[in-house]
Amino acid sequence: MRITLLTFIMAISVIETIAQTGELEGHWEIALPVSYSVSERWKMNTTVASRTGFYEQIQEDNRLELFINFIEISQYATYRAGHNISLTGGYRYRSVNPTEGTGEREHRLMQQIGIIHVRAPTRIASRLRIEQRFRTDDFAHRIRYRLSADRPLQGEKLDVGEFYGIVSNEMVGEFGRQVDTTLENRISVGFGNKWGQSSKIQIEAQLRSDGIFDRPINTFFLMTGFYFNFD
Amino acid sequence: MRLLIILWLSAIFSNSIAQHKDEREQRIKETDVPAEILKELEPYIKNLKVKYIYETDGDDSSYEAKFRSKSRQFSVEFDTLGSLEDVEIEMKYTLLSKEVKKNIAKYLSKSSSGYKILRCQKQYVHLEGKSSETLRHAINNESHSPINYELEVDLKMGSALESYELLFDASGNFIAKRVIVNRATDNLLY
Repeated sequence: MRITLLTFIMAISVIETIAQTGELEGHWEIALPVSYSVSERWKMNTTVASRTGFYEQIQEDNRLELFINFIEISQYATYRAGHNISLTGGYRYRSVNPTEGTGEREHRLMQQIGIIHVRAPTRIASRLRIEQRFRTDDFAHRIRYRLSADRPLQGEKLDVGEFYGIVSNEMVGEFGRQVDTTLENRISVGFGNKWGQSSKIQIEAQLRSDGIFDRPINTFFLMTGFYFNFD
Repeated sequence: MRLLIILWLSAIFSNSIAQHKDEREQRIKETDVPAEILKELEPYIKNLKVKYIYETDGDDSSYEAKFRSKSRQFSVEFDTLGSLEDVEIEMKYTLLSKEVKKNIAKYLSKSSSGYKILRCQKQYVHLEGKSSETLRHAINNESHSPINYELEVDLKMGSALESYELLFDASGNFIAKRVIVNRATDNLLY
């Protein structure tokens, strides 16, 4: 099963590479979120993520070239305020275009509220997050709201080795003195597999439409997450 | 420093192993269900959409048939030999008798500082006699003995927030409890 999944991921990434023609841009994001409890109500999450871009380079041989958009590390502290409500504070450090050595860095502070509206077998959850984004040359506020749903695909419970489906939609607004106000929509569809008792892998295709009230610019993302959860 | 990291990782992994439950549920086709079970269900599931599930919990295994009939959701459980174990029917907690609710509330208040009932099921237990009788009683909502009530409840116990499956008898007296391990929400929150 694991070999099948890895083969699938590799195949998808190859297809993704081939798909990058003309103006279409694609990205592959890999994340490793690790969650662990520190008390009955407090939980920490450390996530390391990297985004790789595939662009058609206008060069002599017109080859596809690959470079790393960013590498980032995030640390979240989550307080379980109720059975279905959680409050989270977080910090993210991002190194932009690290392989090009431009030295651009980003620091981000995050505050969020998460609500699980429905718990089983289909789960529906809301996430409202506000962010302060400090970049080398500018500062921006962000407000984002995501509605997601996931459901086991082989019965009502998710057992080890079984698959689940996931869909989500997120609106992301950015504003600030030094940046243009933008509104982006992110719609995702994907699936996951409960790899082990404390781990799962999730693969999503995401379409980001930036500037949805004007002329939206669409970008495709392939999101791969290797989740580890130690409660 | 290295020792601290090793201790931290050990604590995380030992914690995850301690919570491991050997419980598994698998959706199966009708053709994989023993013939005795299908024969038993036959009079009640004509033209109905039925989901069949094979469940293992440690050394125990069972077959479960889930269907909706007469606006009620049924879950009929059989052992691997095809003998009926129980029939569960979803119902509104508010429809329980005042006396039963009083006893359940008394237990919940005693064992927690706050609770929320999420789901209630009436359980027709088959102990002896013809299993077709128990099935008929359950499908037609007739009186039967013994009857239990199974509740899924969120409990607040001190600072801990836990979810349990609780079993009460026909009078609302506590029989047994089982921890419900909710799915991790990391993919929905981060």
